[in-house]
Formats: sequence, structure tokens, C-alpha cells
Amino acid sequence: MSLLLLSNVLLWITTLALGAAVLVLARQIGVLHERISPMGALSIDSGPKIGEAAPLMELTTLEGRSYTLGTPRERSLLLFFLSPTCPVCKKLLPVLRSLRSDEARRLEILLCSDGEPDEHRAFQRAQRLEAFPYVVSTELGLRFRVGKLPYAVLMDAQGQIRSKGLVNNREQIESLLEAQDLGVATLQEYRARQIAQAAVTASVKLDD
Amino acid sequence: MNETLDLDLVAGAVRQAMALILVVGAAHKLRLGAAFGGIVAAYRLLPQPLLAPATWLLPRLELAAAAALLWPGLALLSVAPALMLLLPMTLAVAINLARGRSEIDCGCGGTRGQGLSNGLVVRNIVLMLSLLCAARPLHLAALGVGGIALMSALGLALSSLYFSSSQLLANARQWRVLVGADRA
Repeated sequence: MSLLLLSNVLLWITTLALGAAVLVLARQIGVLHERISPMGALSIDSGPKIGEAAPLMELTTLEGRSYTLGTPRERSLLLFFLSPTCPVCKKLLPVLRSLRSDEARRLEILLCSDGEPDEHRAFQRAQRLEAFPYVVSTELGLRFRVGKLPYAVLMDAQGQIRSKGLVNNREQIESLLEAQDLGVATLQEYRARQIAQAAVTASVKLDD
Repeated sequence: MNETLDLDLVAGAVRQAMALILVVGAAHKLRLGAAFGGIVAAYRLLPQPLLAPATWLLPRLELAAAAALLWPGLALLSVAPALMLLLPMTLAVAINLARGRSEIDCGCGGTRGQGLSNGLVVRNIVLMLSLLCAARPLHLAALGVGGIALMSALGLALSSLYFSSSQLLANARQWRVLVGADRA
């Protein structure tokens, strides 16, 4: 009987230890995911280069107001290229709304698309996007060589292009802003710089 | 040990696990402070004037519900506060899932970066059902020291299962984000 008791006590200790181990492992996987998650927006290298001035363009919003691109403005400008038929774009609309309210001081968001204006008006009503300026211009997409949607271009207040790329999730949109904060073109470039820096430090240490 | 005592032991373990879950959740919310207010607001269910009181009240209600769970003599009254917290929280998650707003932070506590998912709703339903089963007065004295030790061990094991599962739910979500990014 005492053997049974001993076995039970040992089994319970093992169960609790294993439970703790699973929890710690799951947490570590979570931290790992967090570390690799913000890979940054995929940068498709065509169209105006990062650091170049945005092309000067005179656009008209769906409401008929004129919208000038490429001139200095008060805040940074995020061009978000979308289409009513793109599901990932729809998924990102709540992210845009929260960005619009959270970053209102430094960021303005312009929705861009091409096609039939009426179709876009219906989309704007259905998704309640009236708060965003919305332009429909084929030329704009061509100028920025937008191939895949949703695509985003971030310009600073001076009208210089700071970062751009295909964006599929919140992390990638935020990575564009982060890239601007860090003063690099893309987060991939930042990562490459960090690795280069580490390599230099390591070689200096080896020289010593 | 007779059957009633066995049931007492399991019920006690469930109540203890749930109390631990609530305390961890409350600690997480209190540590977040103002950020938790943002999470409550992101659910878009409460009118603006109610946001601040709800943010203040939620973690404190969780602590009170945990205390009620640890009160051995109570039966339905012991689990009722926890149920009354879990039910509206689960509804809030379900409503936002129906709205398609799974991006927002769950604010569930203990796990970072946990969005909303169907798994979360299922998990809460399981929690509520097990709480209902645990609504019985506990006779701790009859359990004896060994029984209470076993009850606590079972409670710890159950809560570790809970925390692991919520972490794995969060991981699965982040994994989908990663894989989705790769497919593009």
C-alpha cells in the first residue's frame, strides 16, 4: 500500500512538472513567434525609389474634392492601394481605422484604387469609409507600379517616399511606420544592418 | 473515501483552478493599467462614459469572484460571481467575432498578443460548464490533509492545462499570421 502511495506522489510531482514544462515551452514558442513576426512589408523594388520625392499629382476624391500629392503637408501620408474585390484589403480596414485614430497627429491615410467610381462609392458606403479621403486613379497606381494588393506607400511631410510594400497584416503596416521611425527603407534593411553591425563587432573582438 | 467526497475533491479542484485563473487575469489587467482601458474600448460595446468605470471594476470583480470560489461552504453562490463575469465576457468576444473584428486584443490575461478566436469562445463555455458542475458545498474537513493535498495538486494541474491552452491558442494565431505572410 505504501508503494502505491509513493507511486501516486511521484506521479503527481511528474504531472505538475510536465504541466509546467508544457506551459513554459508554449510561452517560448509564443515569444519566438513575436520575434520573427514583424518581418516587415515585402518590398517590391520598382516605381519611385525610397528617399525620392513622390511624383507631383493632382487627384480628385470620390466626393469631388481635389487632392494634391507630392507637395509638403503637415503630416506623413500613407497611400493605401485597395480594391473592393480584395479580401485581404477588407481584413485590413479595421487596422486602418485604428491607425487613423491612434496616429492622427502624425499620419494621414489616403485610400487609392482604380476602376469605376460608382463601384467604389458603393464600397465606401458598405464599409463606412467616409472618414478617409478616397481617390480613384489608374495613373496613381501606374506611377507607383502597384502590382499586388493591398499595397502601401508611406511619405513623410516633405513628400519624400519613406517606405513602401505589399502589406498583408497589421504587423506589416506598422512595420512601414517603424521603418520610417528608424530611418531605414524597410525592416529587412534594418535587420541586415543589425547583422552587419554584429559581424563587425565580432570581427573587431577577434582582432583583439 | 466515499463518492460524495470524490465529487467534493474534483469540484474543489475546479474551483481552485478557476480562482487562480481569475487572479492571474486580474493581475494582468491591473498591471496593464491604462492600456487595459484601450482594450475594453476596442471591444466597442460600452458607451464612452462607462469605459473608465468598467476598466476599474473588471479586475476587482475578478478578484472578488476568485474569493467567492475559494469559500468552501458556498454552493451556487460560490460559482455565480465567476459565471456572471464569464458570460458577458464570452458574449463580448462572440459579438466581436461576428463583427469580424478578431484582430483586437483579447485582454484575457496571462497571454500576450491573444486575439479573438472561436477557440476562445469554446474554452470559455467549457470553463462555465465545469463551474456549474462545481457548484456544491465542499466538506474540506472530511477530505483530510491527504484529500486537500490531492485537490490542490489537481487544481494546479487543471490551471496549467488552461494556461497552456490559451498560450497555444495565441501561438496558433501568430502562426497563421506568419504562414499567411509567406504565401503572399
